[in-house]
Amino acid sequence: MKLINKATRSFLIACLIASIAGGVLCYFILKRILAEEDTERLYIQKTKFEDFVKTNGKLPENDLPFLDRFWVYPIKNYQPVELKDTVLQTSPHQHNGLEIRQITFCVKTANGYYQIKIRKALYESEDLIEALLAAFAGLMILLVGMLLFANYRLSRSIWKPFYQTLDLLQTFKITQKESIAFEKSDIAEFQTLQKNLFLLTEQVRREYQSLKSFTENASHEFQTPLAVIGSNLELLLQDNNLTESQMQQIGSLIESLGKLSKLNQTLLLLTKIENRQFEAAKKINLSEAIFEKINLLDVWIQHKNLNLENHISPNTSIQINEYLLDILLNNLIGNAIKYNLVGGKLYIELNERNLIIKNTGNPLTMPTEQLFERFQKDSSQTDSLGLGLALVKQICETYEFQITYIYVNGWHILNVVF
Amino acid sequence: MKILLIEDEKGLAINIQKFLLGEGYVCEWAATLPDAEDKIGMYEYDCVLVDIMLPNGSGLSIVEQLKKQQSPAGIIIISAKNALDDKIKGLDLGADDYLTKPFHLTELNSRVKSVLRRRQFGGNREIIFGEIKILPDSKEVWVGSKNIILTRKEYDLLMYFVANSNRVLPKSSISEHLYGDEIDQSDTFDFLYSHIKNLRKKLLETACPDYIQTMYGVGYKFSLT
Repeated sequence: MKLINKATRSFLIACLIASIAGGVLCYFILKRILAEEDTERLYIQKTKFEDFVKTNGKLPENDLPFLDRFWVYPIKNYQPVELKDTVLQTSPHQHNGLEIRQITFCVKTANGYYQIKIRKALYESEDLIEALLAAFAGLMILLVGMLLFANYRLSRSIWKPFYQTLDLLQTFKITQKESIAFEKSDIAEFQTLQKNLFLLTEQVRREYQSLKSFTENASHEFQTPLAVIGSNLELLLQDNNLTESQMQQIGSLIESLGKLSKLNQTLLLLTKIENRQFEAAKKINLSEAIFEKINLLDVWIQHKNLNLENHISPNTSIQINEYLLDILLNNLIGNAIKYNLVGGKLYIELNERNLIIKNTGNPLTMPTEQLFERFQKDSSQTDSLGLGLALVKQICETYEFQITYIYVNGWHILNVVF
Repeated sequence: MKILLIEDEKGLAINIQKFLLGEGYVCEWAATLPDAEDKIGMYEYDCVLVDIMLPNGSGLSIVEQLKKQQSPAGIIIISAKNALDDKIKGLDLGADDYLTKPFHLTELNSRVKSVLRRRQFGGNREIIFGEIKILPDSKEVWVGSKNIILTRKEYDLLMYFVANSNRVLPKSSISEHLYGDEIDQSDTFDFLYSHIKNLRKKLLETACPDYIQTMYGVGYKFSLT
């Protein structure tokens, strides 16, 4: 919901509640005021009537100009003043009588006591409600109309810089080389917002840049000493005066160094993928890429005497960085070969939506949910780095592919859904 | 053969130089970009090994300069920066090969030899090692009058051995050369073994002496003795 709509809606609800409450309150107050007014008028008429009797010594014969209609009943004794509301049945057939207020009092004339009743019709509640309802409805319509108009104008003018800022922010990429440039606004809040957003995005960009160069520099800084150690060991190995055991020691050093170097490269690669430093995704023919990879790994497949079966639908393309795809396939297919049984089966299927790689093999000795974690490896595989599937997962996350693993009937099944 | 090595890391440069001198090359070393520029301005080299990340600039400018001078030198880029961009840029500029650190000296040696070979002779080249004659253009291998049919991997293996003859070759160096670093080295050792076994068998069948020595726990050595 748009901000402006939300504000309008709250405002409208508030208006509605206020007008209902106001209407009800108005109704009661008005009713009360009118009733008091009626009572007051009845008392005034009573006083005037009594004054007339006092001055003239007799009852008025006709309706007096200051009086409403009155009724006179002769009585024997004095009775106190009584004010009451009652319903007057105007006709026996009519269901609803007329609501009236009636004052009853006594006057004394030469002929004795008379009871005087003065009646006054009360305003009818329904009429009052109707009038109020009409008034408040009119007010509501006017208010809503004005509100919508005002909002339309507001969103057009006042909120414009805000929405522009939002749009800019949406297109902001952490990797972009230029700073974000907001359109100037003369509203203080928006200026503050823009200023802070600017600072924030700048900082994020800077951090990202420095992280990126750190990754690259670290790679350089690590690899150089590794290269120095390696070259020294290799030269040492060429020395003709070495004993066999010295040579073996150097050989084992070279092997460990190779692992260390691979580990370093893989960790840096993971960081790079995490930092989304591989941007340039392009449409790549996955079917061809898989065939190429199978060809490349053919030596290995044959060495393990695997039975390869593939169902690869031709010309299936996905959007991905070329290098990352290579790593992805390398690890997925490589693992399916590596952890396969000698003489086992390898099954690769590719269709429009997913890539399924199945291989025969022994069940995992570790919990399945840890499979994609870093440095998690099967206890039977001591020379594995335990980073391959972490890489795969990271790449899948980058491109929002879903990857699942199950083990069924002696088959390890990895499914990547694009 | 004269080789120029442009590398800022002294420890590595000295070792490369030592190794290449051992191979019978003349190897000069420049540690900085200006130094390297001076050297390629003054002398002719057969091969230039250039590190991309140098303290005062990119080694790619050396490649550009060499190309501008229309130098006949083979160019091999050495870099720790395993970035695809640099690789493509370097090769686009006219470099012959690209090697990422850390690398095996024997690998560098085989690349240098291959670049030099491609630059040096026009056709009709042959490599002779003991009884073995290799024709790199047609990828043919002869022992005496017998043509040996080798698989692609076996041929690559033989070439690597010949390029690094009389050197102790660690297993990792050979498997990296043959299978790249795509397959984990530790996984490749056992099929490296079977490739070597097959190559040896094919050579022995033609009455060629066994030049492949197994250095237990280390690797192999290819030598006449």
